[in-house]
Amino acid sequence: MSAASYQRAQARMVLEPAYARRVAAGEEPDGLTEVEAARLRAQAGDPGLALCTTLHEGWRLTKLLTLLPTVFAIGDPDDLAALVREFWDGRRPRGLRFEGEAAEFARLVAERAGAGPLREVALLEAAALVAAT
Amino acid sequence: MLGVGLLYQPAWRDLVLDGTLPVDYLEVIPDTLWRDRGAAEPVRFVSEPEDRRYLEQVRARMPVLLHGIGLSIGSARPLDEGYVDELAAWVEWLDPPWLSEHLAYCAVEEQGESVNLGLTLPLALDEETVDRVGPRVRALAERLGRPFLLENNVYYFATPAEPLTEPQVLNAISARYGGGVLLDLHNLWVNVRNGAMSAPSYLAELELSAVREVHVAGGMELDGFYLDAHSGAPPEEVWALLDQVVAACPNLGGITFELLGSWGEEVGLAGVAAVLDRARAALGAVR
Repeated sequence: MSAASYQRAQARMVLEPAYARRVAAGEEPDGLTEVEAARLRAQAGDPGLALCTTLHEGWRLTKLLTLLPTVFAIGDPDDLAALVREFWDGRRPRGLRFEGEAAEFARLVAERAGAGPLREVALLEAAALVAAT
Repeated sequence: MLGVGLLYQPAWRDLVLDGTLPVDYLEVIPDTLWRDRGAAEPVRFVSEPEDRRYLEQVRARMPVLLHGIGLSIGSARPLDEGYVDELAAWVEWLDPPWLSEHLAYCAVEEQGESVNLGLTLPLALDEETVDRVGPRVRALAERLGRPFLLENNVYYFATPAEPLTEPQVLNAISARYGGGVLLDLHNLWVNVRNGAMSAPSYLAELELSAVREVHVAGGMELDGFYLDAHSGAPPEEVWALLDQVVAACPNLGGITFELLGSWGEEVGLAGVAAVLDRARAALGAVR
């Protein structure tokens, strides 16, 4: 299953820039041939890999912005950016549709927001997404 | 020959139906219209009745092509059979003359769960990839009862020591497993522009008789790269490539313009129509 290990490591490098930096520095993912390990090491140091991370995160963020328009309209951009990063650190993207992920993120926003309009809006948008699925 | 088509965008629903946009077919990315409720659900994939009604109306007027992004046909993990079942149901419903996916993977399995990156990540260009993807192409074409095309990919990072080129992989899959090619000229231009390949070499190496469909699109710059962003009209270099390949692809059946709806206002209705007309003229020049 060397190809599976190769793709898993390559995908992880896109999802986790810190992991890509470790691979570039010599860390070897398990279960690879020498050629596969060398390929990943070269990719890890290629600026195009960082671009793929940017594209992936842009794709994933666009889904949240689209599905939670009011949360992002009234929330503090810096606070939400930090919360998105924290949310992504613990969750992998599972599919092409993001209603479930957006609802989960909205509940996290509500939990952190305390009493106030942002909490109410986040709970409403989460409920609407759950109802739609 | 279908002619000239457009990638479906919700903002243009009526303009396709009423003939404002001069298209001969509509291309749909089916996965974006499915809501995946999870493998444990009795009905896993659902779609909006409004979308289904619309596609029924389009299908009554013109062919509808299916161009997937989520099958992850190059994944080392097994194909998602539930996804294939839903694709088969849509094929039976919309009866496209062919369908297509990307020579790429977007999903991996981690600890028994699927992770989807939403990107067409490059496959290793080697015989192992031919042996993994080829049989899948053949099985899909047989099950779905029509040609299954693979689209050439974009390569934003380099992979050293690959024994094959992308044309060689596509040629091998076509020759051994009966696949076809969707030649995305903007993807090719992106790769040329970013220094990953040469267009003359690529086109000289690719078996052009396998090409059934061509994509044209526009892109944009980001972080020092030129992106396949579907963000505008095709650049002149793509039109030059189109003029070159339409004359050399004896089995070409359609040219599709890919433009994201969010860029529609920038290009404008007249701009979209101009792209479609120019693609039609390129076809007409050799047919």
